[in-house]
Amino acid sequence: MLLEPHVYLVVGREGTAGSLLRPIVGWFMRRTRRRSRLSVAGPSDTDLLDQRGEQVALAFDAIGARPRRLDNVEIAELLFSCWCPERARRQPLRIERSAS
Amino acid sequence: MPLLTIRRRLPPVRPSRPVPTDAPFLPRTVLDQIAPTDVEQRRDAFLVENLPAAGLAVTALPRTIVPGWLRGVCEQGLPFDLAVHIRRIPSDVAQRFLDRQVTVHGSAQRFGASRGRITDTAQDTALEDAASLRMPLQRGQEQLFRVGIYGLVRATSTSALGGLVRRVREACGRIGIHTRETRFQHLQAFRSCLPQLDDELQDEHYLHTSGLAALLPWSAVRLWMPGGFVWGFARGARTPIGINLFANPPLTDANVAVLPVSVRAVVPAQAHRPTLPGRPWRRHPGRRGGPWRALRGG
Repeated sequence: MLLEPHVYLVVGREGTAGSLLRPIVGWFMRRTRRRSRLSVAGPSDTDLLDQRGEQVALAFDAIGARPRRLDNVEIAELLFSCWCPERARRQPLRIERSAS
Repeated sequence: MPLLTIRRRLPPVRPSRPVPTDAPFLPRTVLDQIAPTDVEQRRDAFLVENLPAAGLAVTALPRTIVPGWLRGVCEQGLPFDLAVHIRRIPSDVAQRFLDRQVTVHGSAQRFGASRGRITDTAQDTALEDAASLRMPLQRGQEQLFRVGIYGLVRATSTSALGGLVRRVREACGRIGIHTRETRFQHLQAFRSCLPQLDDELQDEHYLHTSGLAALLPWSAVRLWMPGGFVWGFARGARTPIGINLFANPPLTDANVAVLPVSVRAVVPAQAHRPTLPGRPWRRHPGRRGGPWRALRGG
């Protein structure tokens, strides 16, 4: 039997926001409605996730793994192949990528 | 009747929007295409669109592993999904955990010794492991991880699934992995093997950095320079190490030295650089330290 290994790495947001101080302060600001005066500026969750993904990609690139970040359509295709491998083989997803 | 009554003010009730019931006329989304048409959970299998799948969870790891240790299972030619969930434990939390383990096992050991009881070997092993890991963790050389390893086997029929699960378990047993079939938990195992960072089985093990690096299926120590000769064997893995003293550049692929623990075991200090008779050691002009520095990860 000829098998083709596929390796996927899922990077989560857990731990990217640093300490618990920031969400606690944010919650306190929302409760006291002082968001406009004492807002806590910082990178968003998406920025933190992007940074972490780049760090992990660099680490894997250093050992010759050459990772590639999947876009939205590829993530959908991956989930489809994991849920329904036979149907994904017979009827692959036909999602039009945006022109951006 | 009370004079004073304190009541919490209830939020104003807003009428909810009517839920559309004409589902067939809703636009078809990507989720509708991805979702399976039918799913059935049985005791020994999980059927997705009439294709059975079964989960496996690793319950125990061997005490000693070699780099690329999981490759033995992956190279058996058995089709299955392998999911490795890795969660880092913060250093302060890990340090407190190890301190508590050392305190608990150490006090139990001393209490038993004071009563004249023989020592529990399992407790001694746990105490030794925790005590040996405290110092590298404090120095930042190691980190502690929580790792869950799961497998998902798919087949075209239930009978074929049973045979495939048995072969995968045998392949795991050959390298010292104890597994269990996730009976009544196949849905959790299935979801744990999906690429969605969701560990529903919570069957986790503690691993430090070196153990985790050796666990990954694609990691393998191969300290062999092109044109090199056998210099020695790596400690533990017993893999041969080949060094070419005359290579130029000293190390074409510096990424071969990715496990510093093994490398330190074989690379001598600066004062013990070997020199050939009549040929003094010459530092390469383009790289400070020559091949030794490259092997140390410089």
